[in-house]
Parts: sequence; C-alpha cells; structure tokens
Amino acid sequence: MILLLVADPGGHLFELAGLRDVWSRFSRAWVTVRASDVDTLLVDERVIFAHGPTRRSLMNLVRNSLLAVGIVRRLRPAVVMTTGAALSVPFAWAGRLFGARVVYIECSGRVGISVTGRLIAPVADRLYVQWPEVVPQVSKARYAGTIFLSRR
Amino acid sequence: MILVTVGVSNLPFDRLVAAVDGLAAEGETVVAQYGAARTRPQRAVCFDYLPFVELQEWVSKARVVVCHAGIGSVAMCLSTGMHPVVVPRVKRLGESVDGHQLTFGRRLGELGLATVVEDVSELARVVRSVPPHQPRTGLSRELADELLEYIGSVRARREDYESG
Repeated sequence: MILLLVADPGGHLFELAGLRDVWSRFSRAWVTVRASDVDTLLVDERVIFAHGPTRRSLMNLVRNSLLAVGIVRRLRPAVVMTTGAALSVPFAWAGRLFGARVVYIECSGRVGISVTGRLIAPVADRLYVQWPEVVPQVSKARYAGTIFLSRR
Repeated sequence: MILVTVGVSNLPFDRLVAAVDGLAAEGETVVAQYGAARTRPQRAVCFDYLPFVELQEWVSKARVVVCHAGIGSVAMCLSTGMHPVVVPRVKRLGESVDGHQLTFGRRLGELGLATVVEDVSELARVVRSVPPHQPRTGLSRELADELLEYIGSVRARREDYESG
C-alpha cells in the first residue's frame, strides 16, 4: 500500500513533514515543487517534482493535473494525504478518481478554511482543521489538535 | 542579533522592511531578509531570500526574530523554542491576498506563543523586551494518532480485499 503525500514548499511542507510519526509507518512517495526546503525536510525520501508556481497559474494547474493522473494511475496510492496549497487540488481529485482515500489537513496558519480546502472538500474523506472554532463553519471538518502549537 | 524575515511571498512587505533601520538604530546587529520589498534597509545585513538551512541557522543565533505571520516562519521559530515577534501582513496594503495573517497572528498572541505588533512604530519598543524563549513545541499526539488509525484502517481493508 502506498501513501501519497502532497504539499507545496514552505509552511505546507513543513507541517506535513512534521507528521513524520504518521507517514514513516507506510510505503510512501512525495509530490512537491522544487525549493530549498525540500532537500532539508525530505532527506532520503522518494520525491516527485511538480510544476510551480502553483498559485494562480492556470498553465501549471493543467500541467499538474496531467501529472497527477499519471502518478496516481502508476502508484495507485490507497491514501492521498495533503496539507495544501494549490498543488494538492489536482492530486486530491485524481486520487478520488482512482479510488484513493483523501485526507486534507488545513494549514494551521489559517483560522478558517482556505480556497484550497474548499476545492478539496467535495472529495475529502477526512478534512482536519487546526483550530477548534472552525469546526462549526465547515461541513465534514474535524479537529484533533494542532500540528506544532501543542506542547510535547 | 535581531533577525527580520518576511518569508518567501512574492508580495512586498515594505512596511516591515522600512522599519528595519529603526531597529538597527538601537545599536544591535540586524539581519534582514526583505523578499519582494521595494525598499532596502541601509543599516542591516541584507538578503532578498535565504535558503531554508541558512534561515534556520540565523533563527538559532538570533536573540529575537521579527517575522510576518506566515506559518513557515512562525513554525520555524516555535520548533526551536523561539518566541517570535509577528507583524501580520495586511490585505488593504497589498501585503497579502487576504486577511488570514491578521487572524492567525492575533490567535498566536492570545495563546502567548508570539508577541503581535500591528503598528510597526511600536516595533523597536517591543523588540527591546521580548519574553524569554519558550519550551519547544511539537506534534499534537492526538492528530497523529487519529491519522495513523485512519490510514491503518484503509490499509487493512485493502489487504482484506486483495487477499480475498
């Protein structure tokens, strides 16, 4: 079983990488965009690079949608887990199309739901927000703590 | 040393970058990562962008980090036990595409995880007396446990299906 992990570089990747206790237990592959934090956060991980920048680029959305379908067809992940941002949208939909479960974790920097979250919500099997007060505002939303704000 | 960082956004954060020289006037060394700003500090060690590892090194050496209320910068500070001074980017001034930094910054302030400065003229005064470093923060066990259980259950169902 393969777990496909998708995150744009920066805070999104930082948060998903922080969930090491979870993803390290499964066979996995990562999708992100080339940036200086990727080499540091994903040492010895299997990484597939998508087309960036992903925000407000229709061209890259088209390219990444084709890439997403290709990757998902080839790897057949059982679960697609993502923390956003725009890069996750085509991967979540492609995942759903090929029978994967989709887990979306909203960025903790957002006390609410992002555009990415709204676009993924229809295909998300699990949608986590990281602030309890957001739960009533978003259907499907669950709260189970915050990735880095809690004291260890 | 004071580190000022505006993150990797392609939107300029001139308001914070313009306040850097005011911090340097207090006599302490200031290192500034100014991103897409259209103004340059005169009295600081400057970088447009910094590779992740180098930024981490500067954060670990700094007495105080002043940053935008972006998750990457804030998470980096909190993961090293730093209490950052956050200046949220504001939509009205073209610093952000929306107002999420203001909400996030204020919540961090309420939780005592950061000191929030919305008016940069107060920055020098705040930076002089930043609270000491706080205990390291980390992964929420509850979220990790839920995710592990869920992904594990998907795997179990799939294996049942494949084997039988």
